[in-house]
Amino acid sequence: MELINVLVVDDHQMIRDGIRISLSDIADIRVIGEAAHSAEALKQLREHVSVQVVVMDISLGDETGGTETTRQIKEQYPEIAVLALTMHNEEPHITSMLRAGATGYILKDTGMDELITAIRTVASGQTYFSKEVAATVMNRFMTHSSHRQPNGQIETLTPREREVLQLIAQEFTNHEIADRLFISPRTVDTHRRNLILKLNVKNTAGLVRYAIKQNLVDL
Amino acid sequence: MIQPTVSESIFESIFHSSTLGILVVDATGTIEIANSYTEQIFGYGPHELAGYPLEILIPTQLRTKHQQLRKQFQNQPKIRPMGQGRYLLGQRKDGSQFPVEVSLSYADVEGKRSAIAYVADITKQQEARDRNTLLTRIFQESLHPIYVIDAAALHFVRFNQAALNDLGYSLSELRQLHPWDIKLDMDQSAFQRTIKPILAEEVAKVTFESVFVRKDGTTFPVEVHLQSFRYDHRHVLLQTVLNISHRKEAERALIQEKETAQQYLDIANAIFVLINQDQTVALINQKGCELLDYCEEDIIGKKWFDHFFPERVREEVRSIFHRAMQGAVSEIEYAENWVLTRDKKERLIEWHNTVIQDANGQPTATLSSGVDITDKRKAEQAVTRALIEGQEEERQRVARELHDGLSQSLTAIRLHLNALETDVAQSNERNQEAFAKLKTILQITTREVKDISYNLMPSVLRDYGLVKALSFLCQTINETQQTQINLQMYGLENEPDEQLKIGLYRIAQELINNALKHAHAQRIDMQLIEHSNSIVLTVEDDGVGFTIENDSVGFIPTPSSGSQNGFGLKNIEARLKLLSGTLEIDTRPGKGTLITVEIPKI
Repeated sequence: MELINVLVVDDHQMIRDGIRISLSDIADIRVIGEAAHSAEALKQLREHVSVQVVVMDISLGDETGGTETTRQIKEQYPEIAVLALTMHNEEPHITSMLRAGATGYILKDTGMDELITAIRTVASGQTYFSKEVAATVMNRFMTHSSHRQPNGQIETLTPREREVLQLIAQEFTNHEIADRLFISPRTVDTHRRNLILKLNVKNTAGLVRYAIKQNLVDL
Repeated sequence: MIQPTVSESIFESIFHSSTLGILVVDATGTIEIANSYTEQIFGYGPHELAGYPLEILIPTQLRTKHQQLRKQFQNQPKIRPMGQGRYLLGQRKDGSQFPVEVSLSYADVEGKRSAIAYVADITKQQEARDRNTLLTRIFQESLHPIYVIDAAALHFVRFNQAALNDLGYSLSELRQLHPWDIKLDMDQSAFQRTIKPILAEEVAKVTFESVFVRKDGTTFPVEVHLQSFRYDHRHVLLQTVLNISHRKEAERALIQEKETAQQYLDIANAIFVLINQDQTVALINQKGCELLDYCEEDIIGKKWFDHFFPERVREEVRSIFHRAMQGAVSEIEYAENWVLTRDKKERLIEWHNTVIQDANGQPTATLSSGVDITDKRKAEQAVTRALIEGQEEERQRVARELHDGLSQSLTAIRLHLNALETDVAQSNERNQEAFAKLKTILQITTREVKDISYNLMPSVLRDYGLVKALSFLCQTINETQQTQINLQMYGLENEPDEQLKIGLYRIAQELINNALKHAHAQRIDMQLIEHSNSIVLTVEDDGVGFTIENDSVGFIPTPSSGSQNGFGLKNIEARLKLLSGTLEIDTRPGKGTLITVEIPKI
């Protein structure tokens, strides 16, 4: 059995102690160093050339942070695996950590077994994500981005926008549309402006043309 | 001409003491002899008349005619006794005219024919006669002072009782005076200049205002009408006078009132502006000029909306004005608008508008009073900003403490528990159960602390910005709640500044919470759209909706009482005020709610 040398990077002494103690009984894992921040982590790596896995927190309480520290480690020591151990289970955190080069991502409220499995998995060159993290990442790929360029797709219109567009195409004025839909003329105007932007047309005439093309109005 | 029975001296004394004017005129019309009485009534000195043509005693305009008559008489003399005489006008040396009765006879002496004229001054008789006619009565009794002025001599010929009452002179005193003597602001030449056009018959009448002086020196303003006409062959001016003391006083009062009103308008701390139907400025007070930094002449008549409103609000305000002009009055009573000063600075004005209507109830103008609330709003914003920023800071501090302190402790506990795991596995079932329970409670507690911390200050917002934070927010809700949120965002390539970012996030969060908690919505459509000048956030749900009661003070309608209270709209309002944003609610019971928030980009 090969021994895995681990460097723990976390700005909280309590956590570093906890990790060390929970791993103390594990025969093939040895915590050979601890660091509270980025500079210390890089210093430790220079001293302990045998480190295979860095267990990395994301919030380090200093300017550099876990993501940037990970990037620097991977730049200098591409063979070292970085396992994120964090309380953040938000997609942006996960994504940016993975981009920085982390190959594992688990949460701090994870079980003992998972921590050990994760360390062993990333040490072997594979990736490891805890169940919750995997779910978050999956969701990220399942849900298409809500941030988009105007593409003129009719599907992007809300039911109300569709109604407003139909009425605009039938040459109703803001006031008439407002009366029909029980909304204020000002809101109608906002809808009109939003529609022009979303459908990537220049003006109200563009909206009418679009509505006709999409068969939203009977001619 | 000498009668043989009367001695020359007696005749002469009779001739000269006669109370009848006697003139002897030769065939060429030259006066040979005139008696004392003649000289007296015509205003000449002793023996002054002899040698003059007779026509010197006749008013200028009658002289030619008189010459013809005289020649006729010379050829065919015809005695005309007294009592059958002709009424004529005589002209005195000073040019004034008076009525005379003339009878004629003749005498042929030594082959020469002399005409003898007997002249009586009948002024008194004529006055006595005139006094009894209706017109004279009217003249005399008229309450308006009327004066008749001799056009040549320019002294008062006649005047009525009202004139005497007006001036306080006696009849004989006034007879001595000239028209300019009673006018404070006119001398003889000024008076002559004034009457020149009527004497030249260019105009029928002149009217002017003057000030009359009474005998006692007091004065009063008058309106004088002068007209010229001929009467009994006499050329006179008729002067009627209107005492305009009351009118002057009323005018003065009116001017004063106007000035006072203008003063009030000018010292008022409010702007007053009257806008005509054609959108031009009819009136603006001093304060308004100061605010816009133009002088009054540069504002009056200008198109109000085109010149003094920033382009981005111009059309909206104009369309509201149009509607007001079409009679939709209620819409414009209160408004807040930005106006544009001369140096293109914008000031925020709180307006109270009234539509001015004509007699038929048609709108013709709007009268607006406005107060510059730019500084007030800035001060309010500063207070709100301090409050909100303080709140945000406090939240961040608490979030950080929860994350760095409590969460880390909980994690440490967890890790230390891990160390016991191998031992517990070998222990009895009761210990194992207790250990498992402990781990579950710890996990729940850790999660709760984390959620609280995240809500206080979303790390995604702080670290990854608005677009990611809103996506994450909606994603979390879609994973955990029945309600589905459709989120669409357009633009926002550049992250908004800190204040706008946090503000928009909090508003979105609050609106989603409302939709979830109160509206019982199945579907929420949230859109964040960046326009060229603003960012628009719309949150639309298909929930229960509510009735809006218009709040006359705030710009956000207050939802009706009951379960909808505590809507978090107050928080949103405070944040919007800080961001100079607006909020529009469209909702009806059972028809969902659409909330539109628009924030201008700075």
